[in-house]
Amino acid sequence: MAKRNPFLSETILLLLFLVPLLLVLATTDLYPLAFSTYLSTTSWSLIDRGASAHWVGLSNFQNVLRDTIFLDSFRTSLKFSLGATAAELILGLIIAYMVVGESKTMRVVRTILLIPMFIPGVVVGTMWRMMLNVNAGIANYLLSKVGIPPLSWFSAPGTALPSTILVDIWYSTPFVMIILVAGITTLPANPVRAAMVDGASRWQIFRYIMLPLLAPIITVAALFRFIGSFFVLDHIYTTTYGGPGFMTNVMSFHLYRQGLSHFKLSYVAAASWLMIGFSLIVIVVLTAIRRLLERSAATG
Amino acid sequence: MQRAYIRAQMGEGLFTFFRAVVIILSLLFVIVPLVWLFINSIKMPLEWLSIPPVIIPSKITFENYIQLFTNPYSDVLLCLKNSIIITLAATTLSVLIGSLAAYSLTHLQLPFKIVPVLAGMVLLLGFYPKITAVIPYFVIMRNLGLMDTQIAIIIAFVGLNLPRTVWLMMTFYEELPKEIEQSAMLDGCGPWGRFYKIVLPLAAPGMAVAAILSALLCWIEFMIASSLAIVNAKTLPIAVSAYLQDKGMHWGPMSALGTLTVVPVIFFCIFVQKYLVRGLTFGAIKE
Amino acid sequence: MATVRMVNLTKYFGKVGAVKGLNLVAEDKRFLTLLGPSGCGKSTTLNIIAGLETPTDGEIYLDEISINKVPPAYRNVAMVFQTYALYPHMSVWDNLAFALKIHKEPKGVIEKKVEETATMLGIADLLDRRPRELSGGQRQRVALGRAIVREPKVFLLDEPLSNLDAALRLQMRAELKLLFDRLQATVIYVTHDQAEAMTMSDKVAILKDGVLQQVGSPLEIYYKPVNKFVAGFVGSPSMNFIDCTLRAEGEAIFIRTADFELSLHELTSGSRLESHFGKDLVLGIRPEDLHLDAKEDSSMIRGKAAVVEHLGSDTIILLDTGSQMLTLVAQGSATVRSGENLSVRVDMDTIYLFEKDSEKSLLTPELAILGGVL
Repeated sequence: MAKRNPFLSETILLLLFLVPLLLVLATTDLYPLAFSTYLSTTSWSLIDRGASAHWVGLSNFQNVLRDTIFLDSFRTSLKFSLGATAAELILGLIIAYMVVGESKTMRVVRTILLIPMFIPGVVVGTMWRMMLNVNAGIANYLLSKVGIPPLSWFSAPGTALPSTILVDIWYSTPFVMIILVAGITTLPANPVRAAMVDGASRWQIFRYIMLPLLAPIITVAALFRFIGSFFVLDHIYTTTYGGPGFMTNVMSFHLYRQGLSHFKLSYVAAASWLMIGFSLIVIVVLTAIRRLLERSAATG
Repeated sequence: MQRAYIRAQMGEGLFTFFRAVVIILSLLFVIVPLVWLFINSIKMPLEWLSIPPVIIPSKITFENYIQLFTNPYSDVLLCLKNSIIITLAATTLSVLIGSLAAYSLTHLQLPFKIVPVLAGMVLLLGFYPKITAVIPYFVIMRNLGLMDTQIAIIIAFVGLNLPRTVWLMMTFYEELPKEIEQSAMLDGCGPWGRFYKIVLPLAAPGMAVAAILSALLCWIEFMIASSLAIVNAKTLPIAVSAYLQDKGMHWGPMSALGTLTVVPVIFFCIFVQKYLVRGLTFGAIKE
Repeated sequence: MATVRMVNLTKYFGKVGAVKGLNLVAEDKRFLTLLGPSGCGKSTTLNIIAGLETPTDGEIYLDEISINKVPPAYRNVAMVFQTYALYPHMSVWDNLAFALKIHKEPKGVIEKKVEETATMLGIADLLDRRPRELSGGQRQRVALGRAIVREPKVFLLDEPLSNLDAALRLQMRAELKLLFDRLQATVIYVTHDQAEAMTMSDKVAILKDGVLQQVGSPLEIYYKPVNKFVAGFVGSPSMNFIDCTLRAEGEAIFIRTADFELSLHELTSGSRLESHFGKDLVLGIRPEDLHLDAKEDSSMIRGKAAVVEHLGSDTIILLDTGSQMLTLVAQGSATVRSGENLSVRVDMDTIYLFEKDSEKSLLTPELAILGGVL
């Protein structure tokens, strides 16, 4: 009887550890993704549960790319993401700089400032919908108190998208803030102290020392927020529902509607793959930028 | 030296002022909407939609909250129950499965770099748009007859949480000194023993973080839950959006419902802020 | 003029006292070293002088102007950190030029100063590199250059050599000394390495647990320590300490220890010791003051050579006297074997006596040979 190789039995046991994970992920990711591929390359219909499905090659993809509403939703998402990410990065950085510190006060402040990101998106949307109500909302009321005429917020085509960006800013700036707070606190302390002794003012230290060293982590935050805001759905659902008209018809929402209300499953599958492709490009580009920045900021 | 020094002092004073302004404005920006949500939830119906809006209600009532639960057409109680069950189940499962799997991924030795690639793929699965999986998953569950069940949602949430949990636990495991396990190995302890008796207790803070983030995500998730739940398995976020669609102008109960979802979050935040920060920033900085 | 005066400088971190009531002067154009074991408060003191920490109590004066409230940027001091603290994302040139740019010096001036300093330190060919591309020694020179280029009133150096390997450290010691002599600058130097302190300083201030033990020239500290701590800290291998008591026998005074007895020749200090007869004292003998050329007289210690270390230039012998081990250093190669019984002569002109409790110095060598050096 050959002696069991101990390494073999250990390996087998470890593989067993992986089984539950692989089972779940197969169910929730792999199978759906495979099915999605199938959906995207066939003419699947929900009515007959795919009985009449046949291969259509890339024609679903072509349909998607020719669909003006889809392209429009892509543009809208782009505008939304760029606006939201830029605003959140700048605000997040300013606030992060102001709230670093181990004092009890600052810790309390940071905790409070974190709350928005943990509220369900639909509730955030509902809340802002009430606040930005043109007549009964508190926003216009407060504006009137300082002499500014009421804004139309979600109701007018021109102001709807900026209003959703505002909601996202409330919702997601805490995330950027906390990442940057962590980044600032892990900066090497000595170059900053050296700069202090060298005569640099607070602003100069920030601009010449801290900012370059923070650049990599800012890029990470930018990546998270850009991709995250691109796939936003929850608060759009409860504030504008894609409107007025199609002004806030961001891509996720458009696909959600096409999929769950109109059941154009193949369309949605093809479009999702295009979205994945797009996000991969963004990830690759921003990661490359981050690596570059990291190298130049490497500690010496 | 003196003149520049005085200027510097003024500059520093200006900064302190600016800093206070930023902090106060940010705090107001966060708190005012939440407070207004709460105020709205205790207003009498007459004052819900008043123009101009009523800031201090003339009369406070908790009728809105009661209405949420006693209204025969309302299923808020059901949604609350579902949310709690689903959150607890999904969190527990994802932490358990994730910790186990992460242990394997950090210890398994296979040729051809299989293990790092596998780990990378697991992580990557946490980054693609949910919408891609929503529709197929919806179809799958429909075909399995699991539509509108808690189980379908739980499995989906576990899948959603696993990549991040695995990633978190892997980073935690890597922080533990190898010597501890090596001496256990020499003592004759097998992988399960090492995992259960040594690594797990030491990685408990990591599990806490993973549990917190998972629980949060389950509590607030909307897209997937709404695609799978029709009547029986609805969660709190679905209740909120449904309320909006049905009785969007009933600001009172709607605000009450909103407050109900927010209050646990606030308490949660207070309790776990230390762990939260660590977990959120772990990956970003470890890069 | 650049004189730093510390008056009753105190710094507490919570309940922990890092610096307690420090009174010290760093004289113009002189090299002052703050020496002591880790945790003694020397780095904290330096940080306070730089303005990176605020004192809990006490004053600091730069040329008799109080700088307690002045932010570091305006104190006109330059600091070289132990870890160099170079700006990692800037080239060497930018690192050197940073302070000048901050002070809005004209471009031509900046260029000139940077080139000059780089040449002076031998790093002129590294100006384009980034800190991570440099070796430890090179980084240290850049850190120095950053300080020098500013032409500050005071140079503060926080253990700049401790991250270098031994050979480089020795070389840099000499270079630094030459450099600062040339620059005619006021320097406050922090280290835990007593050899550095001894070789580089005009004055050494020894600190322990935040309290100043003694300040004086290196030779003063070495030969006239005020207490057992200073005596034991300076000198390598460190001084031997043996518990002892004094007894008198007629005109003669004897020092009695557990293993041996030494007769104290009639010294002018003999009479000063009268009040300490019978009390617990500590005898201090430096390893180099124990000699292998023993003759038959009473200042002799017998023991067995437990360990013999041949360094080539010296021989270190651990002598087992029965109840403890003494260290002795013999010049050159001593023909001593391990296990050998030895008789070791003590030069009674070179011994020290300390009170056991207070550790204060009672007796230090009256060394005529040093003549006017002390």
